[in-house]
Amino acid sequence: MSFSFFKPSRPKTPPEVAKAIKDSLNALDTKTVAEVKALEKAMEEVEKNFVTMRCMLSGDGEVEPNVEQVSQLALEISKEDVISLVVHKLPILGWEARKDLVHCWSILLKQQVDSKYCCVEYIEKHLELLDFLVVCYDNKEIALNCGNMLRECIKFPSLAQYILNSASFVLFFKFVELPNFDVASDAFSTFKDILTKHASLVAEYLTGHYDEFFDLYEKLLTSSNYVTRRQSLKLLSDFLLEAPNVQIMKRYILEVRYLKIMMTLLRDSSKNIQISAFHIFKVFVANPNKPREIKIILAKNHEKLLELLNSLSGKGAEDEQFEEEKELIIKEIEKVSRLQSLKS
Amino acid sequence: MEYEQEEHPKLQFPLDSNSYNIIAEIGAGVCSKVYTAQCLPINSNVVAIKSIDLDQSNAGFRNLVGRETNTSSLPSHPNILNPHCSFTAGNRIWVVMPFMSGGSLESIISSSSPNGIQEQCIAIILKETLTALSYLHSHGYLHRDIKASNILLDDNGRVKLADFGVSSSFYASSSVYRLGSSTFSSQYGTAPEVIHSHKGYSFKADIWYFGITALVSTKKFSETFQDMAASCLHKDPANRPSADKLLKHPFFESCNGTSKFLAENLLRGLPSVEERFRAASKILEKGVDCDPNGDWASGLLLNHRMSSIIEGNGNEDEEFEVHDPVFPVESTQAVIPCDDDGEEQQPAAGGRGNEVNAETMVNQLMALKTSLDDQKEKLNKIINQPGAETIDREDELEKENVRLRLELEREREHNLNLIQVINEEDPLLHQNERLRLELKNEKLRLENEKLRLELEKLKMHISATSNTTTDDNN
Repeated sequence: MSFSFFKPSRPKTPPEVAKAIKDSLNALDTKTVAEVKALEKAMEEVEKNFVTMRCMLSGDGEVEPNVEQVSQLALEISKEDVISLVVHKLPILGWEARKDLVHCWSILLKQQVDSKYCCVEYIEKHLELLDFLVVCYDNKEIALNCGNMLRECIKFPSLAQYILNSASFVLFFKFVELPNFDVASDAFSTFKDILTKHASLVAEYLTGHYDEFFDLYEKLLTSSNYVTRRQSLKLLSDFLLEAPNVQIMKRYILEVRYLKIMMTLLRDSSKNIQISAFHIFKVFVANPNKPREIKIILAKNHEKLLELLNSLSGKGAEDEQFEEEKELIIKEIEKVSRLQSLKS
Repeated sequence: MEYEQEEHPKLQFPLDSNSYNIIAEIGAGVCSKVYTAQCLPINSNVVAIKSIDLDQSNAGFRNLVGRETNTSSLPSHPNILNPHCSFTAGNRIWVVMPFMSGGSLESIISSSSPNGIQEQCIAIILKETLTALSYLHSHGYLHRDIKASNILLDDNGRVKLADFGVSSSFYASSSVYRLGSSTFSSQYGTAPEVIHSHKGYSFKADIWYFGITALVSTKKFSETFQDMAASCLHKDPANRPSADKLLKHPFFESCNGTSKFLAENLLRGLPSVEERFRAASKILEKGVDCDPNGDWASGLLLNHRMSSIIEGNGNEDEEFEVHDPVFPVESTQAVIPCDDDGEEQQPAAGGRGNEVNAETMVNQLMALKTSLDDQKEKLNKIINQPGAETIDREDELEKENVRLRLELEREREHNLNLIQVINEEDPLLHQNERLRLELKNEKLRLENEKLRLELEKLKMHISATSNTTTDDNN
């Protein structure tokens, strides 16, 4: 390798690139911490190889990538276990290398060879890699790189389904509240992707894990962190009111405890949160088959609710629709409050 | 008190607001305020904190939360201000940054002498800014919010480009971002923030704003400066230089000033950042009207000024009447979050902006048409005047012809420029709006053509008259 400078520069072939990446990553293991220089040199080699990979996959700004080489490289990388290697080595790589890797990751995942996503298939056979990436949110240095890679994975239903059902999924409820804002908001966008990219998968998951999921979700909605409250509430209406989740929604709006959460959020100090809460609260009220318990709560609190709703106003273009809905909801609450059957 | 600098990049800044003691307010936007503060656990280090109100701005919230461009994912560069950390404090986000005690270029401009800053200083500041921009672009990032208030200086005259990813994410809903992502992510299959092309439109939008920033920075400028700024403001993005290429422009090549020079010649004697902010707030309180469309209007004005430069009309050291140089920048800052405020739907927000733009545009065109009509009338008068001193008039008319024709050409060019600006400002400009504008322009072109024909006629008329006159004399 040391004489590579003097070799005539012949561009490497995809198998050579894959091999070089593999060798250089493996070389990181053989160096002990004592040999700082050796480790640095090995790291440089990895970085150099990543740049080569990046150029092959996306061109160098002047030359367009060669489609054939791109798919050949994707094939080699999945055949040679390079995917496992890069994921596991991610925490020790430098900033440049990680950035190059994230860039290549999305391209590699999208490569189809013989109408098969070879890299995605590799990950399907090594699903622990996804858990590894999720856990990386705890490592501030690499959290955002892993977040990017995870979101690329989540685009594929099989991988999204695994994460959704894996033990590591519950970690997201913790990650979205990390004190570091950058990491927390990145984790939230991954969390959101998981819950919104493949609606039917999510519906299936929620059906099976209804109590477990909404117990955890309640903690987000009642968090003391403004950002957590606001975005979890918005996300809830994003997926709960989606067509495939209609059964979940119907179940949700029968529950007194969730109505209580929405009523609390209607009184939030933030107007934005109040309005988002209204959009879920209205479904509880508008439900033609309200259980008696829900009706009792509405009737008991009708004065306060009406006062609150009257003080609530929409904004801009949504104003009209909001006011219309508000009128309907107010009427419904008044109707419920007059029901004789509840006064026993 | 020590100033925290990048020499200690590994210092862990606390992620809770109780660890910071606010000293003074040094800046304010629509949804944000900037303070100086002491970081108590770290030897009361002085830092700057940008506090963004999330409850005031829906767009801000959308873009800040779950955005894909993160400041912390960027490695350090001497000309880029990297935040130490960010965290939530109630319904606000606090972004903790190194405190740049020299203040922003904007505040320096407004508190320096009425003659503006000397070009030598501007050159250094712009060069450092451009170096940062070149670095960002080479890593596939766009800044998206280049302006004088985002160019900061420290005590030692070191220049740093700020607000990458923080306030620029307010801007992320803008067309530049969306165009960038759609074009490039489909082409290269990458996330918008890792766009890796130097030929793209989006990078050239940063260059455009760099040109505008250069232009508002000074009142007097040299020919090389003009040439540099003009190249940034080329109406076709493809013809604007990349940041790398612009660094090789003679204006920057010949600039070898140092930060020390800035510290000694520019910063010395300036009021403190805090004092500058107080002075600026006073002016605002007095009610200098902060028209939300002011930004656009000043953009037009700048563009007008610029187009005359592009067409070689500007003389060396020509003094332009830059209306309060602080102002265009100030209002830019105000407009961006403002426009998005309270608008839940992005298209709606965009649409509203367009209407305003188009309105202004149409008004401009109408004004131009009126001016053309005036000129036509003048010409008619000239034509119909009895040829008393025909020979004397001939020269005059000839000159007038040439002048008018040039002016018409220039104004037409200017129109195209304006349309281009609108296109760049928002490619999602409603199609019919654009068509309307193009129609107007076409109309103007026809008008122009008609006028030219008339001029031709006039010329013939003149030569005929002069022939007669000559004949008569003979």
